Amino acid sequence: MVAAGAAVLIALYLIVFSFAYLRHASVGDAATRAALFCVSPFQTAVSVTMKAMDDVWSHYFFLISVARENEELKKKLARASEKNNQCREMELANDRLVAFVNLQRQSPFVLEAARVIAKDVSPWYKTIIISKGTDHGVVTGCPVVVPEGIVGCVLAASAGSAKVLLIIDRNSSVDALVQRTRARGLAQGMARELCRFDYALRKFDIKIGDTVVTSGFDGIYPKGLRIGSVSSIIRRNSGLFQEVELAPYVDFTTLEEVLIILSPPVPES
Amino acid sequence: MHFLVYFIVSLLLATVQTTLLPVFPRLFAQYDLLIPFVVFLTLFRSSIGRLPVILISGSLMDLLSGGSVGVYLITYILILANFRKVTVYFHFKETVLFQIVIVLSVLIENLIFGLVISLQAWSVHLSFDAIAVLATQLMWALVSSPLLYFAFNSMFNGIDKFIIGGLKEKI
Repeated sequence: MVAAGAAVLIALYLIVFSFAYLRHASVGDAATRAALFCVSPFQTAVSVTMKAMDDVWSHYFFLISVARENEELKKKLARASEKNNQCREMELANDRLVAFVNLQRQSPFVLEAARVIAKDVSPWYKTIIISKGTDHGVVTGCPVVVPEGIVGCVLAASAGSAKVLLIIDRNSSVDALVQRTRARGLAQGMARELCRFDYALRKFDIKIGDTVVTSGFDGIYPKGLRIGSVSSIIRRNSGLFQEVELAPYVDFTTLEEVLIILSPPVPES
Repeated sequence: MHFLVYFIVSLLLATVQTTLLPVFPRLFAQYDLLIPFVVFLTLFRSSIGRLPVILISGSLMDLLSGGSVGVYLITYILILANFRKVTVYFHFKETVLFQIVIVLSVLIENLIFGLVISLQAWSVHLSFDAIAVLATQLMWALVSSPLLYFAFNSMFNGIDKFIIGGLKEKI
């Protein structure tokens, strides 16, 4: 019995060894290559198909969760953007208000801050309506300023609001000086959100970029407030005056808050 | 009741015109929205409560504007006086008539403004800017008037039904 078992074992070893030998032999190699050549395309095809199916299956479920996650993230992003926008708005408002506070500290006048709540109904005229009125001490003729320069003056005031005539309105005139040369003239509103600097004598050497400030002679605006810079000059061969245009320092299209000078300026003697 | 509704609508339009539309200055801010309303009242509504509300609207706009007092009032009165009987003599589709009259009214308003401005010796500085402003206004008048007609028409039809329903219930 034992001898028969040993014989079977030896026979098996012989078979295994002989196959192992054959693998290294050229005949066996060729047969393996032939087998691989025949089978491998099918194997590859099946494998790829399986992989593809597996991918589709797993991605389908994956996509559902991704879609959900995407929606959540979009909501979060929208909330974050909104918050970021609010922060940005607050930052900008803060910058403006800091400038306002600084101006209030430096100014010798009593100032009252107000919001711009409306603009003129007509495109032909340039006025704004602000959120402070006679209840806050605002009266007709009060100058209105921002840190960049003068805005205009109060045209009419009710209890809780006031109408302000901007310096770019055609009805507005401000007695002004060129800061460098002290040339005096009138800053008058124009159609194109600019001002004309009228009655500036030809003898003064006004240059583009010169700053024009209030003279204080008109009894409305205190002396030394910035109006704008000289943007163009025409000096004709004849005539007493030169034609000067000013670009106001204040951007009237983005005006949101203003300061009203409550204490009237003392007219220059 | 009619007067109250007209008054509220004109107040709303004036508010929108001074607060909302200046946000888009290049496109919308130059168009007087009270004109379509006044034209609608003139052409398609009965005379009950019409004149007082036109007078009040004109005065309101004059007071809100920084311009010469009376310009809006004169414009609205002229619209009422000139176009009151236009439906009797001209038979167009209502929207087309509304459109034509609004364009003419915008033109009238700007002519009055131009007249006032030139009287104040500003004509030298108008030229191209004035033409651009006028062209924008006329374009918006032409484009927006059919929409405004439908808006006013459906709103006032609803209000009329509401008032008539209330009266029937009382009877």
